[in-house]
Amino acid sequence: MAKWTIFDYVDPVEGNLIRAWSARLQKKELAKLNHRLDSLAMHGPELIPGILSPTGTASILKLKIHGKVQLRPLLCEGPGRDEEAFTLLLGAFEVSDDYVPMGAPLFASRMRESLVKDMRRRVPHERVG
Amino acid sequence: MSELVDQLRPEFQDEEYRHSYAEECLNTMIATQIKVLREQREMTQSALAKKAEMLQPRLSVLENSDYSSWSISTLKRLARAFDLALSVKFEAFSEVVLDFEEMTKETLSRPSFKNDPVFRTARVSTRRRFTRRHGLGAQREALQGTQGRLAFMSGEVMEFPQRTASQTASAFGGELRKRQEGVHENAVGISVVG
Repeated sequence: MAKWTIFDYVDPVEGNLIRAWSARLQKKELAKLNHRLDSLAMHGPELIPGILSPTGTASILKLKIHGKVQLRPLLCEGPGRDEEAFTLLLGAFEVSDDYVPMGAPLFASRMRESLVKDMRRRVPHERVG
Repeated sequence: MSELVDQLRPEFQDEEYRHSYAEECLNTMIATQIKVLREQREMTQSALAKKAEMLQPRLSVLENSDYSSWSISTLKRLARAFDLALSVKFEAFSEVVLDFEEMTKETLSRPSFKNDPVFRTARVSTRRRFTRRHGLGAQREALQGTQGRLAFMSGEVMEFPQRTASQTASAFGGELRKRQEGVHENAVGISVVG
């Protein structure tokens, strides 16, 4: 099924925050999130138009998931060399054109930097269904 | 066996979950097919927008998988611009998921009327009549082993999706065909067909 591998960033203190963020979502939001991640894993970034959006922060992308709650999980490609992978870095929302938590792309960028230094700070995506 | 179906089987037991997931499949597949059909015809967004009598920014919105407010009338205009028919049908969740999983540029491409092999030939294939009499499941069984290619008597070759009835059935433990015969919950599938 999957052509691309999805990973979750793991915080050295708090563990897998993506999993914790996902677990708090309602079923409807969760279904949309999982669909987006399945799309990315199966079809990669090229086939589906608009599946990934830039954030304005270098190397940090977002998935835009619309609904009553606007989900904006932040992720990066790789970051390993020559790997067909994405790493989910931070679960965020968008409220009135602002990220919640505020400055989420910058936090995500720091997480990516720490991941580049230590690639053990990620695990295969832990799906919440 | 489909890994995606295996993953979704327990998740789809929740009604709200399966409907949301299927709706996202629909949104994604329509937006992707519009883009694929446009590129297949080597058209720019502006050219397609002009043909469909809409503005380019509007087309850009429709060609984004974020979009969800589809209307039949807009899709009809696009079908007309592509010189394709629009097909709207209710569909079993299994079919939607498998179509989504198998989605590629090739499976989404469709020939315009002038390139439609059925209408280009003098002799009409018996496929349509066979389908009417025996249903889609039987048609797929008939295609099993042909590796998705069916040679017409005229020598024309038409590409069909690679999935066969047996693959579909095996993906769902052989229960799909039983369910197809009965009343069951459906998702909505919309596609542009040649």
